[in-house]
Amino acid sequence: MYPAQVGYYRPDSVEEALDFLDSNEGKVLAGGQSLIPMLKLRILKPKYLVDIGDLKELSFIREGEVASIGATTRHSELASRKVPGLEIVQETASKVGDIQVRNMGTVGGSLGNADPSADYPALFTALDATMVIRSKKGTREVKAGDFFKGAFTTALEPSDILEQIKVPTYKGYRQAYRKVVRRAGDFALVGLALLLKMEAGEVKDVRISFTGVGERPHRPLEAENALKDTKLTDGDVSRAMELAVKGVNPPSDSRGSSSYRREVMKRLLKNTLEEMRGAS
Amino acid sequence: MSYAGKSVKRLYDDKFVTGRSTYVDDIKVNSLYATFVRSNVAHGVIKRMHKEDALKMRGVVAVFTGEELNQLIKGGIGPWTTYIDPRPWKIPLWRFAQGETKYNGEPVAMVVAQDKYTARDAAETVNVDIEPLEAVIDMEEAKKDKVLVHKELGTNLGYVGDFNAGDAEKALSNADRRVEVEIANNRLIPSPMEPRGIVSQYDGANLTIWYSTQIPHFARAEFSRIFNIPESRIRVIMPDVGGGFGSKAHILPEELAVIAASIRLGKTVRWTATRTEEMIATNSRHNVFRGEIGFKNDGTLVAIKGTLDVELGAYLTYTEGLQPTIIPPMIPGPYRVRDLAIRSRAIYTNTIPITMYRGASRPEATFIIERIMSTVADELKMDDVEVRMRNLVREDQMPYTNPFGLKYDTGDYPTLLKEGVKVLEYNKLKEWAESERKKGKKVGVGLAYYLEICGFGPYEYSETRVNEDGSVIVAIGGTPHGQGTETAIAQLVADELQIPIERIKVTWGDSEAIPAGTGTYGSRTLAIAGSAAMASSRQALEKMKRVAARSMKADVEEIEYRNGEFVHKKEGKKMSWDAVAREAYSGKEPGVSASVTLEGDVTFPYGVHVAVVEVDDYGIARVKEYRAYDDIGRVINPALAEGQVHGGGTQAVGQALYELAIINENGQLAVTYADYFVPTAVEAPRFKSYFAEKYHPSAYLTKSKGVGEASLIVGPAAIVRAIEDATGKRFNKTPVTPEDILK
Repeated sequence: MYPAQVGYYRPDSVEEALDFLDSNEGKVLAGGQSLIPMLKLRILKPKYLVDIGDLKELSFIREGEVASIGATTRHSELASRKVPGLEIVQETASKVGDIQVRNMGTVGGSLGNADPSADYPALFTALDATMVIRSKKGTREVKAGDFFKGAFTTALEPSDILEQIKVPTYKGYRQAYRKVVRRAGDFALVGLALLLKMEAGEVKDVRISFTGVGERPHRPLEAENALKDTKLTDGDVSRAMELAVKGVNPPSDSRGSSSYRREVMKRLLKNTLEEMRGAS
Repeated sequence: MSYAGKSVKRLYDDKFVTGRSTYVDDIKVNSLYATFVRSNVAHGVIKRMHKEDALKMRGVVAVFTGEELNQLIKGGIGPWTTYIDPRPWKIPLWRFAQGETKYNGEPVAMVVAQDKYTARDAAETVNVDIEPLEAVIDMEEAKKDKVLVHKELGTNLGYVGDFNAGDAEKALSNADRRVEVEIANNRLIPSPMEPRGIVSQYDGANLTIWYSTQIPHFARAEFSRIFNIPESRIRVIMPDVGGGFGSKAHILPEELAVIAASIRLGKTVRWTATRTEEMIATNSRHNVFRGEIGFKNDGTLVAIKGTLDVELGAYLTYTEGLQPTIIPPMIPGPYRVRDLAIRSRAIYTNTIPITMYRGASRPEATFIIERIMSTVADELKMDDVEVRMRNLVREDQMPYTNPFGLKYDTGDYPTLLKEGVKVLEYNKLKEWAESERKKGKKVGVGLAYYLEICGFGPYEYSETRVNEDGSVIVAIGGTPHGQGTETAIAQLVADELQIPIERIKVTWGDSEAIPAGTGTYGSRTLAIAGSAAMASSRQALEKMKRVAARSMKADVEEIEYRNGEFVHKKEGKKMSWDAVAREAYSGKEPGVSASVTLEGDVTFPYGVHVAVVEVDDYGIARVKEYRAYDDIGRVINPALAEGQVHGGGTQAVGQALYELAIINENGQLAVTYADYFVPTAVEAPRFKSYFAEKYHPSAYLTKSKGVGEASLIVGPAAIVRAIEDATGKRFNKTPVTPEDILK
């Protein structure tokens, strides 16, 4: 619980941070909710911490056809702001960790950490969001589907900074983030981001994304396709449940076994779809 | 003026709620910092230690191995002989690891440095070559004795004892029904908020030790024995202690190493466990009962036969020896069953050593007998209350000597059950749950009964000192560490001395300020330390009367004391309490203080608790409500007593649903607080707590029995029963996980 010696650099701008990262071995510190424990356990021993946590230019929520969210926006800020067409972001943010975590932790920090049980990776995968990444070389954009490479691994290079997330809005969609936890404030045993568009009793579009069931967020496109243009009957839902777990091999750990997680995935999808169907 | 019986607010809480408390890590003293290099195998031979790199680092003072430390650590950590007879035990020598390591996480080297960061950096450079040996992690495997934890013992069975009463075999064959049972509690982690810590100062002659402990005087005695230093030259000071739950009545090799290093270096050395270290400092529970029960068709339980296996971990800790000898005689509980044959075994494994934990043996015994009662009810399709009513010891049998010779002092068990069912609205809850289930909700209600043994002796010390200004210091051998017993004791003393409670200070936890003491554990403090405080206060008051008599030139019989005034009955002359106190320190009198060592023996509180559980579609269970009806003898401070019900009840939620100390195949603790789920405020149920108005007193002066552990003793059984009611499934272990529920 005593970290190794580490240098601390606090830039005044993203530009300064990028300059520093370009010539030093540093780890970007935002809200510190995952990084600090890893330092204390000496899992990580970076030479420098580059603290971007208070950079104003990275903390914003901008509405629009495509909304944008600054990387160091706190969970609590997202949780207290309703963005039209992105109600699910508010709901998800309100379910991250506990109050303390939500007050300190940032959306970009969570995405950069890419914990396989975290909430945002599944959310932004469902939303087809785009990560805007900056480095000395310039700015590049990476789709959420390509951003998460594996457990705790993303498209971010050591000298990169995640600047913002661009999110298309989903007006007219029913939206829900549902999460099964053993205990309040815990990481998801299984989490589900679900967006559903119904017209005249038929599914026009549906987006399904799970967390906690593999190294990366799981988006079962087959299940989505099978639900499109259906009336969401019980049979349609059962078919989607089976397709959602097809080829998925969730981890077995202290929170639950692989087969239990598969069962929870199915029930979570069923219950959430039924809830949305009932809401019409 | 009477304080006893009222919910007087806790007297010394300001410091805790304003961050001014002093835990052992807050002690400011110039010192060196220790840290430990730990074994990463469950069993192995320590081949070589490379400490050269560490010693070259700036700020590193020393690196010690077991060979060096054990030159000073002469005796090993042994069982608590006050309560544990060591004779039937096979006990390995337990000092700092030397030659072999016996569990993953065991300290194998110690680094002492000028600050804790340097110590940690240096520890990473100490390479220890450990050649792995075959290890035995699983208790079931250890029983086979194929792989031995301690070769010199010749077996992994540290203890085997037979607890036989009546003729279980015959009773079983005469029973209408026989059913096999298997009942288990899995491994837990005690989890006090404050991790353990120690500061050891050696000045060349005397040792002063600040220590996060529940038992400063026993610790002094153990340190004296282990280091061969007279008790007079060891002072153990217990600062504020942030919880113990029994796990801090336990001595670790790390702590002995800190003391040894301070002696060797002639300097002050300290160590505070990190959370990771606290989690491997002690584990608790893990026991399995397998056997057969016999009962009549009317629900009368007639026989219990079986084997109780209790895991020890790699060594016999100071307290774990209690379990295999207290669980069996408590298995009959409040019930009349008299034919029992229980083989009790304690088993070494290459895992983190196990200690007692809140309830220590009574939760295990209660879970076993309450599961048995519920099994009888299920088999005969009888009501849970009815089956218990049929078996409870009747009032006309009290005092009742149980089949193993334990003497249940006072109580009316059937009446309490009847009243409890009514007060807790058990039947109404059951009906409500049934109607909710019909609507598709998975809710359930569970009930369990307990009989507890507490108030353990052999004695407790108390001294009452009247100061020159008339204020009073009460020094007790009990060692409250969060319970608030000091407030209840101040209430008792204020009533005895008839002075305002604000003038009394209760103090404890310093082996030099308090000459003797046993400590706080086993729900004993209010009964035994409270009674001792009443007794020493009565004697102090007698001495005050004598001072008043001499001052008023009267015989002591002529002096009457009431409400702070000493009255000369014949002449009507009066002296105030304060004036007498001043007189006592005028140079003519010896001052006023009185001390006692009050003998005491066990007492038996009992009660019935009810849990309401809701299970969702994913098998996640939540305890929505927890209700308790207890006869704990006379209640001195209802708010404090209720606080114990809430705290124990929340830990019961943890044991029943969430907490599981998983040890992986390498013997490594595989959980952190990220997945060892200690319940938070969100998981805490709504509580309703009642105490029987017509209580049954103990033999103690306080007439109180004890309540510190009640809810953790009976809670798991009540909660598991509620899950069964909710799901229609059967569970015979803790914790019941979502996965078990969904299966």
